[in-house]
Amino acid sequence: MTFKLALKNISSKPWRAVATIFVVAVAVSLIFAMLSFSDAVYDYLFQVETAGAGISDITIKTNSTSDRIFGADGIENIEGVDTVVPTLNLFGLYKDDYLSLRGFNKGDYQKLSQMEVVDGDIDALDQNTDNVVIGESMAKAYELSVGSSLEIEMGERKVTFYVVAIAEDSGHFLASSPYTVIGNVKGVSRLIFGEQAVYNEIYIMVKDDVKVEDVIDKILAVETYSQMTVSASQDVEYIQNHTDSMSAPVVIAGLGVYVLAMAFVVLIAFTSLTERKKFVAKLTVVGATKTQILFTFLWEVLILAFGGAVIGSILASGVFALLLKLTLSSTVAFSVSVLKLFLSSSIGFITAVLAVMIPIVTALKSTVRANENEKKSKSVVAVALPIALVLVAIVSVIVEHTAKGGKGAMSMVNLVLVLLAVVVAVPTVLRLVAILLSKVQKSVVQLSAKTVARERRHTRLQILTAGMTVAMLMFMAWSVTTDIFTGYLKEFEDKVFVTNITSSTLENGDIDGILQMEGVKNAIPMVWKQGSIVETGKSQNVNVLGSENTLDIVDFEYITEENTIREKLLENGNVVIDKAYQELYKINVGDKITLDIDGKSATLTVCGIVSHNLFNGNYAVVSLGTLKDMYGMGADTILVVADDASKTADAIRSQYAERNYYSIEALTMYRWDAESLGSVFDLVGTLAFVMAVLVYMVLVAGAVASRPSGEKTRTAFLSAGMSKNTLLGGEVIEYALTGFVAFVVSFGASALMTASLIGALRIFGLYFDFMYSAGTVAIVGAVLTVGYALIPLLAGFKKGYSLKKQSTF
Amino acid sequence: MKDKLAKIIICFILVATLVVTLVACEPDVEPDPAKERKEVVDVFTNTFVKSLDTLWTNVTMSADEMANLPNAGDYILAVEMTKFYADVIDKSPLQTEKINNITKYIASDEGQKIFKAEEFDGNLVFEFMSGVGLTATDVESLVYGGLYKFIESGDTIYSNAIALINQVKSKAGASAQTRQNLDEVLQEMQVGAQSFENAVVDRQNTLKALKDAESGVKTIVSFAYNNAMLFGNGTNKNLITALQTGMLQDASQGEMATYLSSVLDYIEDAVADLEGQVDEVVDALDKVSNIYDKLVVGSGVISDVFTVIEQNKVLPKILPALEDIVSNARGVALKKNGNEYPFISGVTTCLGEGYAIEGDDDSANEIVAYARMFLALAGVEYTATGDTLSSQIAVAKSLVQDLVEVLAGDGTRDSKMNAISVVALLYVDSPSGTMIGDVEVLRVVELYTADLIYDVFKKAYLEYSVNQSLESANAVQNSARILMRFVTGEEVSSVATTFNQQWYENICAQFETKRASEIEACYPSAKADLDKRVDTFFEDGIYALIDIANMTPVALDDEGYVAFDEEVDKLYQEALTAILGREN
Repeated sequence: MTFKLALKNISSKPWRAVATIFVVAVAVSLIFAMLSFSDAVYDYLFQVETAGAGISDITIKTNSTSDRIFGADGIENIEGVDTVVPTLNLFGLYKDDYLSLRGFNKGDYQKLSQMEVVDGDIDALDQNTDNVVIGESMAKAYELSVGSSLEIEMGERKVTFYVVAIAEDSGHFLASSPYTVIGNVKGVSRLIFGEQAVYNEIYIMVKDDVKVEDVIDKILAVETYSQMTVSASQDVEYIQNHTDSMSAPVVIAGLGVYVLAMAFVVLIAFTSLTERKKFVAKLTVVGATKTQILFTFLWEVLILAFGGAVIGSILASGVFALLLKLTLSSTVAFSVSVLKLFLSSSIGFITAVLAVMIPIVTALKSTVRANENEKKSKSVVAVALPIALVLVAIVSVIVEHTAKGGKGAMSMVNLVLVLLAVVVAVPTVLRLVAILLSKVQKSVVQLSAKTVARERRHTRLQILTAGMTVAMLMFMAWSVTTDIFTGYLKEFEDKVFVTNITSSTLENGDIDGILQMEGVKNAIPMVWKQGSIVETGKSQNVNVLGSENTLDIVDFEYITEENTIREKLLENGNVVIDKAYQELYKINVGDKITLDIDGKSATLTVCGIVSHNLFNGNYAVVSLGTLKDMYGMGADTILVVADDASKTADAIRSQYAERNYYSIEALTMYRWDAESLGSVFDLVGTLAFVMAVLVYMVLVAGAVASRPSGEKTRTAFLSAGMSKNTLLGGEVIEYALTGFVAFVVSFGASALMTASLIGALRIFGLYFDFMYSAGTVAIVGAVLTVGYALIPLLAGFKKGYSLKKQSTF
Repeated sequence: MKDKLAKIIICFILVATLVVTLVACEPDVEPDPAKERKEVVDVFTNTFVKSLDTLWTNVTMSADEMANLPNAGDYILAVEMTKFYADVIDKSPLQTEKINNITKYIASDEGQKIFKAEEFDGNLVFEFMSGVGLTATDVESLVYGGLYKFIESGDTIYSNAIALINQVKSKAGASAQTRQNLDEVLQEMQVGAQSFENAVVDRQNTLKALKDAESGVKTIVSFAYNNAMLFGNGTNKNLITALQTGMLQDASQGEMATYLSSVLDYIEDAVADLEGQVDEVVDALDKVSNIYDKLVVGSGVISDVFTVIEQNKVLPKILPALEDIVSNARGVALKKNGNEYPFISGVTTCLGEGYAIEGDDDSANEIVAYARMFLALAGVEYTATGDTLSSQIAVAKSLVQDLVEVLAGDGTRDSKMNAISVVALLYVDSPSGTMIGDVEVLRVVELYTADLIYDVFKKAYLEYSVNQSLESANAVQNSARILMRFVTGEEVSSVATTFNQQWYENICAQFETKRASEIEACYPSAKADLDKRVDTFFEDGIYALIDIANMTPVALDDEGYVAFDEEVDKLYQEALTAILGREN
């Protein structure tokens, strides 16, 4: 019986049912996307970062303190070593673009990662030393097919290779800058001399139950490899840090949208609350018990929420794929976790049920009479709750910003608390403003203000305020992050990286040669590597800027006095860090930090603090002397500053083609990161826009749907001789007043929430100074306020004014 | 109106259906690799022939068109030979696109420059191979494939050419010049065909032997090719240029050691590849060598293929001994003291900046460098002393003795001639009456000289058979006189006025009989002398070499050289005396 009634209820309001299911479905999809995004990013970054090393545990590479080529004899005898895969990796030019040519010994081609062939035959690699396999993207980019030849240049040497197979863009072929070509070591070595087996990289798989670090130590103890870079093939820490930075904005934006989706569910429930109360009254009158009534509504919401959860689960993969495509790359593969899907559906389902049932349960507590008259006495709780919530929020915000270590988790809590406090308190603010305005002499304003002051239900005001606050926050986040990101990219615009340099680079005058090139402003040899600092609670990945000359190239803001930093940095054992570390991890000048680079560890003293948005402050400046003495490490990169980075990168590429350097614009090197982060920020902006539009649409819908409740009053005014235009003007003023109050409250709340948002980002290891784009916030608020004020005009309220309804009163 | 509309709609649907059907029915144009390869090979054949002469417009000229060519005979030969090469290439594992690239290279200015050089010698062969980007795998496949195919069906080259020449000769329009050229080539082909018949007497067994030893024969070819690319002259001075230019410019000692090690790997890899099939390879190469011995082929690819085999047929036997030597040498040449490689450091210091061995060949520093290299190859550290040095010298002596045994002690004719040749060279300017054991020097030298002249004689007779010029006739006459003097022991003023195959075979038979007996007579003394020299060198001469190696390199003068130093000269002479067994 109750089930049938529920079905009848659903079918009688099909649009309401569809809207509820849709919103629940969207919420479920978003929850799933948020839960899965970080893992997908991690998996993708893992694949990108390990594209070269594959499943190996240890990588041995040449560097500027070692020879450029070496043999691989005897390494298999080192204790703990299971499999050895030596390779020769050279950067050749094909049609003026770099290619990474990776030469393997016969039979080793797939030991690091499998090649998924889409055309041709990988076994043909064994038939000739000049046969190669390329990836699909490269084949497409250069219109190559199986059987095609590639003439690769390295200085004066030109060597032709033949494509025997094309593989999927995974494993070896995941990277596109540069594209990778897999061949035989003897074929690749023709770019240097004859068909000889020499190597510049070795990948090692260690035996089970053997610690990678132990084997690294043993390899480093062998003199041949002691000067080389011997490190773990997978820098999990770096990948995790990178994942966190990529995921944070999306997860936070996604959470915002999820909260909003749930607010819509509540709104849909609320917009029909009057009708539902009447329905409850009718059922009560005909003798239905409270349980029966409750079950009628429960069945209805269960059906709708279940429908939403199911559809959301179906849509989840698509929404997630879309999200990944928008933010990362269409090549990112992901698998659907059943557990996460179940979790997402459950959260969406339960939240929706609660959102709908709570007001109904509240309604059921009222008497039939009360329901019919829509009157409710104010309880003490109803008065005390907003006050308590506002007080708690104020205290919590004060604690967050004053107490040591207050930022982080507390900021996250405050994000919710401030929003809740605002939503709860805004009706009171409106009422106070209305009371003040009711003293105004102008009759229409007075009338509107009195109407507003008498209003007991402020659902739309609360939704408007919440929506406006979140929209302001998201727009502001988009604006600020985009500004930071643009500044970040700008820092790279005039820079060129020349990597893969060797000991002879520093001796044979190549740096002087680069400095003499047209348009080159500066060129410094440096170490450009990933390291990690352990004093950050967990091991925190850091970008090592390994040269004292970095200070001349990057426009740092000096927190510690500049001369002191310049002087101290030259002393061995010192390091300069960003203000972010001071803020996030309370590391100060004079503190000791342990900096790990490529498996080598040293304790350094913080000699100064600077500030720059480079890598979001996630960097450490160390001198070349310190790196050499304490890590046995020489420069691995020449950082060039030039008027035209692209032109200079090409010129270096061409002038030093035979050196096996990899000369590339800094922006190109970080292209994936730049594009992905740009997409993520754009996504935040898009979500902000979509959310603002949805908020507005919901408000319009809410306003239209709640028209009947004020009809008696309006008819009374008209009967009293008020003109339709005056009534419309009054309504516009009423809406404008509501909008204005929401605007003012949201403006203040958004500032507080921005501070909390910045604090909350610390959880992801991100530090930013407080930034607040008041202009952006004001524009978003003003647009929504004006839009809200115009609802009576846009929704054609005037057409609904009628005296005839008087008879029904 | 409705009917009209219905008709239009039906027509539209039909047309649309037809279009869709036609599009759908169009077969996917899948590339046919075999067809594509055939087309590419045809283009290669055409381009190759066209590149040889501007009058040769294509590879399929008719008999009438050929009759108008002044060099029609040459054209026919070129076409037949090119078809032969093309077939070898077609059946080889060369990638189709590579054949295409070879064709392009032949047509390019660079390719034409090499291709039309007056003397297409060994250097140009390597330049050509390098230019077209052939790998060792390609070369071994082409050499083996060419060899196999020639033995299998080389006679068809001659028979096809002879038939075509006769066909063109019958054309009325052929000029006198054309006919003369046709006759010359016809004779060449007839000689070639005859020699092929004489030489390839056991075709099936030879082919079977080659098939059984395919992998080993290919290993020998690729080893020879790699060595030629590394140490060859002309443009392929990889050993030197790799360390002077390109990525390894200013190579460190470690990089040089890596490079040197990878070069030494060639020998070890070759020995590993040959394991278990040395006998098969020796047998196959001997059979090929026997064919080459009797074959009359002019210069060209076929000749080059046989030459490669002839020159490297000893490799399967000596590679294991060489590997032992290399393995021993590796220990010295690549020995590391801290970050220093003493041998590499010792040599590069002598040779100065750039490591170029050029300029003043007599510079003292270079002699010191060579001494250090030689000792390292022998596995002796020039800085070693006492027992270490004695032990190293003993090992080196033993390895060299093993090598001498492989080269000159296995009882075969070639092996015996190796011993005789070495000894003859050492005694070549000794006074008359000097004895090598029981044999007089002159007898050994004469045997060595006659053996060399025998090859000259065979080549001269080939020239004469093809082109009976006065020059070639004189060459045959002179070489035959020397051979007959060796056979009879008396001066021969004239051997014949006209030469034919029967006369030629008679001379060969007489020479070979005499040579065989002389080898038996001279070899024991020659071998004993050789063994004694090895003993003497490792007991005495090597110390002179060590003294040279231990001299401190002298700083270069303003012009970059060091004047020949008297002290070094004295030591150098002592070493030479010890090595040669007499004053230099």
